[in-house]
Amino acid sequence: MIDDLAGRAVAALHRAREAVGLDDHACAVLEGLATAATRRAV
Amino acid sequence: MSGQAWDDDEQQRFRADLQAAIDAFLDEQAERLRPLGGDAERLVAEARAVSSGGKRFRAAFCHWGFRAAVRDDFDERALVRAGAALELLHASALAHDDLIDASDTRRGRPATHRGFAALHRDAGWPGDPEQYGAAAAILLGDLLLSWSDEMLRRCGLPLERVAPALDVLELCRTEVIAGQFLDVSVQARGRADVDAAMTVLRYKSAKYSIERPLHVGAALAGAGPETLTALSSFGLPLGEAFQLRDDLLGVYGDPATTGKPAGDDLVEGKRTVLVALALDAAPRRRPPGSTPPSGPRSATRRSPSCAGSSTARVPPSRWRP
Repeated sequence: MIDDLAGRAVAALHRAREAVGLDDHACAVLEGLATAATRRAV
Repeated sequence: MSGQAWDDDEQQRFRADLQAAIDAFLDEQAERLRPLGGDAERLVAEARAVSSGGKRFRAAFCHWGFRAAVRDDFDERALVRAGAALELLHASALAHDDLIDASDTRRGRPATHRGFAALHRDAGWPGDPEQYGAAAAILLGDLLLSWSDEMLRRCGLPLERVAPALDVLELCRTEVIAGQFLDVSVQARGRADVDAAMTVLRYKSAKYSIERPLHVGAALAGAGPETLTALSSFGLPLGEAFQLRDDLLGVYGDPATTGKPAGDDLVEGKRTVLVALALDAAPRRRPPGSTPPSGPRSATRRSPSCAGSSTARVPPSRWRP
């Protein structure tokens, strides 16, 4: 469920980058933050 | 897109700048409160403690929400202060949340209400130490909430850029407080339902942790509704995943890493999504006189007294008799 939601989020970010022209570097960082936020060690 | 676009040194510098901005803001507030003496000093000291540390995700998502929407030069210091405003909002929510949940610790130290109760007890003051601790936590949370707004308003960007971000922050405050009340109400009813738990998670945490910080940053950059909607499509599911991970850490996490005791949510009888899903997966209560299930799996099933559907009664909570 967590990986599903995180995957959906990152896919949406990729689409958003194309659709509204988000900055590439910022999107790359946001993708890294998404991983950090959802992969914190149990 | 590469996940290594923000290297460790840059992240450390960002966190240090953020802490410096919070410290400077709290120094200003301490000066303002100096005439109130030692009690106000203790309140500001606690504000410093609850707004220190943490992953700083909210400030980071605000920063990169801004950077995603704008390519021009920008005022780095002002943007750091805007992110710090979100960290003060978070600190406010933690002080209130710990009191509501009767948590003992936060980030390895006594929760605000516990710390002030201990102070009252140690000083031998008359009256109820717990009541004093609760009052202190409520007032500290209110103060931090107010300071969050002040810090964003005075972040240093022109007012016409800040005004739309303040609108987002207003919405964010409304959502998180209403989400908190929804949480308390769900606990009080004592029924764990995945949809209800998910709504609580969305409003109490997911939106204010990631979606709204992205929006605050983008609003400061002058982004329009299309960009905000696009950022929501990323931020909302990510916020949900983030909080689900947090719930998992709350049960299985190492207290040395998380700073809070493992299993608090279970002890409190919290109806998190994790608990709701567990109850959903549990076997249904058998009607009296029915035949027990056979096969090897039945031997490992929980006692029928513990079993139930997603809306089954769950362990006692202090929110209901």
